[in-house]
Amino acid sequence: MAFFALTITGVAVADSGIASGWRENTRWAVDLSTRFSRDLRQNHQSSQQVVGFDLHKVFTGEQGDFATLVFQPYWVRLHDVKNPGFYFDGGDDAELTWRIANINYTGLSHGSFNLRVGHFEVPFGLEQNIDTNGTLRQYSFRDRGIKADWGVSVNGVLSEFDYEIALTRGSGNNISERDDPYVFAGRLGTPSTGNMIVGFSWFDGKVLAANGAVERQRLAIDMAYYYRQWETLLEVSAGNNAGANRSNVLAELSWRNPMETFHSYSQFRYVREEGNNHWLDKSSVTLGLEWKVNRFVDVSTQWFKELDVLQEQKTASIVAVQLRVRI
Amino acid sequence: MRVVSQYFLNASQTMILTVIVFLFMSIADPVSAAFCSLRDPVLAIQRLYPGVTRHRSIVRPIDQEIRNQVAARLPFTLHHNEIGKHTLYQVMDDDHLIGFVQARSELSDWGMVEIAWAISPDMRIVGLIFQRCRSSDCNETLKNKVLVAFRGRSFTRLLGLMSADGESLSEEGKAFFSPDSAMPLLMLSSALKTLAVTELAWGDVISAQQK
Repeated sequence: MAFFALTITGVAVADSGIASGWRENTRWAVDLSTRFSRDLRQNHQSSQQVVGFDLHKVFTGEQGDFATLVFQPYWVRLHDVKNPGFYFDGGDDAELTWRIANINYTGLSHGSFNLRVGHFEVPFGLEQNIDTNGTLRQYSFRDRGIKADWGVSVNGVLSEFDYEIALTRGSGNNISERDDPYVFAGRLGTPSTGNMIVGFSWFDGKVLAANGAVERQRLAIDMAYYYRQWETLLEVSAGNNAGANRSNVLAELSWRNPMETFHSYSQFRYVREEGNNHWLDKSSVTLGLEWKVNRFVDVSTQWFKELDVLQEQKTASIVAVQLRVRI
Repeated sequence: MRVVSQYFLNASQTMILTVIVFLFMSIADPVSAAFCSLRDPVLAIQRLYPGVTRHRSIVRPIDQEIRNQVAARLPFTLHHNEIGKHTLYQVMDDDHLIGFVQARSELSDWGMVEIAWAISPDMRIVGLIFQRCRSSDCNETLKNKVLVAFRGRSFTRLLGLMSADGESLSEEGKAFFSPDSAMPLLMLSSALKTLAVTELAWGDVISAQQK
């Protein structure tokens, strides 16, 4: 409730005459979504409801733009969710979560050398250029155990490449010193406006999880190629989890209609992990559809199917549906 | 029936709120993508104005009224999805304004084409960058042809390149382009809309610069 009071107060202040300077170059929205998932193999259903506030403000002065603030607190309510994030007290819980909440100081060198402080996506692979916050469609963050984190980064756009290098706490949604986690990660890629984008990433961290921090290292190459209505994505990474070698491949092919109201995608994932004196292979496919009904409403559905899994585990087959409204 | 009623009873306040929100959608400002996906056209500004030291963002709402005013000036108007908040970038070299940049999206057979237009302080097209185009037609050859035809033209002179109904190029426009590509007309529509919207939504900013 304190979060809602804070949000409503913030909106009221933003709309008052007192804060006319604050309103300048400001965008804000309320983001609501409801998601249902059903595990077809285990006959188990779960759901989550999300209410979020999305604020974007560019700070500008006589000398030009000097900072950009993105502030996205989201209240998440889980119902019977298995394996929720460790910052939830179980699968039937509600928590304030942070999607993105940072300020990027851009006044140093006209966008070529910026300093970011706050909560942001750890720069790595395909996640860097494609927004997957709040969507069913996701990439490879689970392989590294963290999607967004609190910390600092240097980032910028140069004529031949984009970059971001970050040092973060390694604890994800909440800042925690337990087990002394950290992440040092970065990505260097060709400009994100092209039809062929190639990037190189690294990740070195001790990532906090429910049972303690796990050391993870990765090197990755990602690629995006756009041709007409088709989008092809590929991310290949290799490294280790607590010394056990591991490689990961994600490939996606997707299609949009000319209006870009329909988006269909198919993903293939492959993980190869070092076990006791042998290698374990795991692969899965994901088929998804997203429909932008109008300017406010977005409906999406996805089917995730494990093809072959690590020993003695039941293969999962999960269908999810999401309704999202932004006003 | 029991299952349905159970779902209803289990519905959270969030779900109920979602339903209420549907009722108010027709009067609310549209916001589509999450704002964390917004990117300033930094690279486009760097390429359109090499050596510039800074830019200023000016965010303004583009509403139904502006859409109607664009329709009065052009044989077409903004798409409904273009209603929302947009940014005009003032490009400065030291303390002097040297131009504006605005990025606009157009529908094409291959999805959205986003073009960043460079505009002089006296509202003439002076440059362009393809921010996003999935068609192989969007290349340097087309860009150079468009610049030959568009560069230095004001809104009125650009409008002379389009037929009265907006469905094709005028005779003057056809002299610049081969007839087998739809891209020049799409780019002309984008340039005209950019100038019209800039003059309508940021008219006070432009007037202040011209004094």
